[in-house]
Amino acid sequence: MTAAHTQTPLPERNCFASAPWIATLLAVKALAQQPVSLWKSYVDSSAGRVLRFFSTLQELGAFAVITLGVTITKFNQSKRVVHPLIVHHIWKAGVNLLPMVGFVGVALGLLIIGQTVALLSRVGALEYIGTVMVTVVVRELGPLLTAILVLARSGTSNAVDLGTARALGEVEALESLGIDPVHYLVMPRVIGLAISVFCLTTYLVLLAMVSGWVFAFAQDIPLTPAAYFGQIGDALRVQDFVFLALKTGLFGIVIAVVNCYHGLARPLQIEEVSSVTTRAVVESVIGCVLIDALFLIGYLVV
Amino acid sequence: MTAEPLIELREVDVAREGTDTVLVRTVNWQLARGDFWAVGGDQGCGKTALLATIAGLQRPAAGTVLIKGRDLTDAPEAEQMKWRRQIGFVFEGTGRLLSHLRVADNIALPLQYHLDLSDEAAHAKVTDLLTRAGLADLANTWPSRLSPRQQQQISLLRALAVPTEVVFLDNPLSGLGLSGVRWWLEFLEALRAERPITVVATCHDHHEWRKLPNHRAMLEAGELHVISGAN
Repeated sequence: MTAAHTQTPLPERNCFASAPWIATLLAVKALAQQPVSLWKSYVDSSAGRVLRFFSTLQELGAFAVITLGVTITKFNQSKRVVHPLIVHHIWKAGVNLLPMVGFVGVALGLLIIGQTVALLSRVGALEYIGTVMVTVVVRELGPLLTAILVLARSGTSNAVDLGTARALGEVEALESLGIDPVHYLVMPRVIGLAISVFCLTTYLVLLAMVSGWVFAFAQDIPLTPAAYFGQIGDALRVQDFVFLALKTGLFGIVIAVVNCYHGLARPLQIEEVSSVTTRAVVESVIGCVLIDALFLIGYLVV
Repeated sequence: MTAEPLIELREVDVAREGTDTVLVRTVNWQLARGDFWAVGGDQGCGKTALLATIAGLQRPAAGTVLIKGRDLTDAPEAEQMKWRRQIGFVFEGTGRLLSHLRVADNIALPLQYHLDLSDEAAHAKVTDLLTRAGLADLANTWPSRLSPRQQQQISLLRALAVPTEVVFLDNPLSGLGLSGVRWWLEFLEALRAERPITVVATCHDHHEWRKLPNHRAMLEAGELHVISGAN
């Protein structure tokens, strides 16, 4: 009798069941056997997301209306405290961003002229450079890029600051002192960001136009400054100025309201601050893009 | 004829903030001007929620809180804010100072917000308060650099910066050493000798407050028991 015959046989088992790929296959098979419940859970989760989206939208709208009401009724109340805060937020969201926005403005001018000038000179349409600059920089990219820069630099810091203040109970402390948190914390940020986005966009647009001409000049394009800025002047319409002011102001308001809402609206734990900041950034970008789309319709209609 | 109580609670249920969990049931309680109440009770029994409810920072789960004979629960915001200007609330732990303002600016904030004082006038008032409290050297310090004991002391000064009628102190003596306790007792005694301010303070043990309170109450098994005092 050999040694093999004397060994006790191993208990029968599926030795592959523990392999990761088999486990995955088994899981997929199990899911496939429950198509109805999977579909139902998908619908439930999608419906839940849609409902949550509309609920958040409604709450954001209510928060914006409250902020507007406070701004109208209390703008001149406690001036010694609140007005310096507006200046502080213009400084923080506007003046501090001048170098960064300046860099982006110069780069934007170079990129747009660099990309379009070769194409336009090839088809003999150099007289449209001004129109391209106005359409791309003044109407679309300028305001949106500036808004995203302000969001990245100041919007997020607002969400973190206010979320931390909420988590540490500082907002309740303000209320106990009879200080309206919307008046003290939100209103200065909304006004500060609206003014900042408008001013920074104007700054970015001017720099992009000047740097665009410098690049064209450097490439020996036969375009005098008078002709270049004349083209831009011809392409600009009155509604461009009005829409630029409205759009950039709205971008600033949306960024401030969304970030302040997420920082303040509900009780937070300190560990939740990062997740609400992420949500605030995503919703701010969506808000700005939606506003941009609305203004696009406005440009087409007017 | 007895004077109208400053604060009166009628059949009030107090819930944990933001929840429906009732911590204290059917509170009937009157607080007169100039009273010093010490409310004792174990941790988690609802002292902070009761204090916030009396102060009007939290809605009662049931019943009515009358401030000078008027129910402010559904009153217009302006009226509620007017009441809050007359109270001072010192929160438990770190006192909840505003972390983005230095100590002097924390104390000056209610002064400038409510009384519209100039920077110089507010600064003079803040310096006076800090000097009387023996904390003048902390004026330019950030709250994060202070110990919890100092943060609560500054929180009290911030609460007293504007003319305050009632001060709510949430367990300020908890975890303090002898010198810390002495500071609070001496400061409050001097303050009450100066003006008839109403004080409602919570504690784990009534003995912490020595002989300062003229009324005592105890929270036990979800009920408020007045041990001694006017009720």
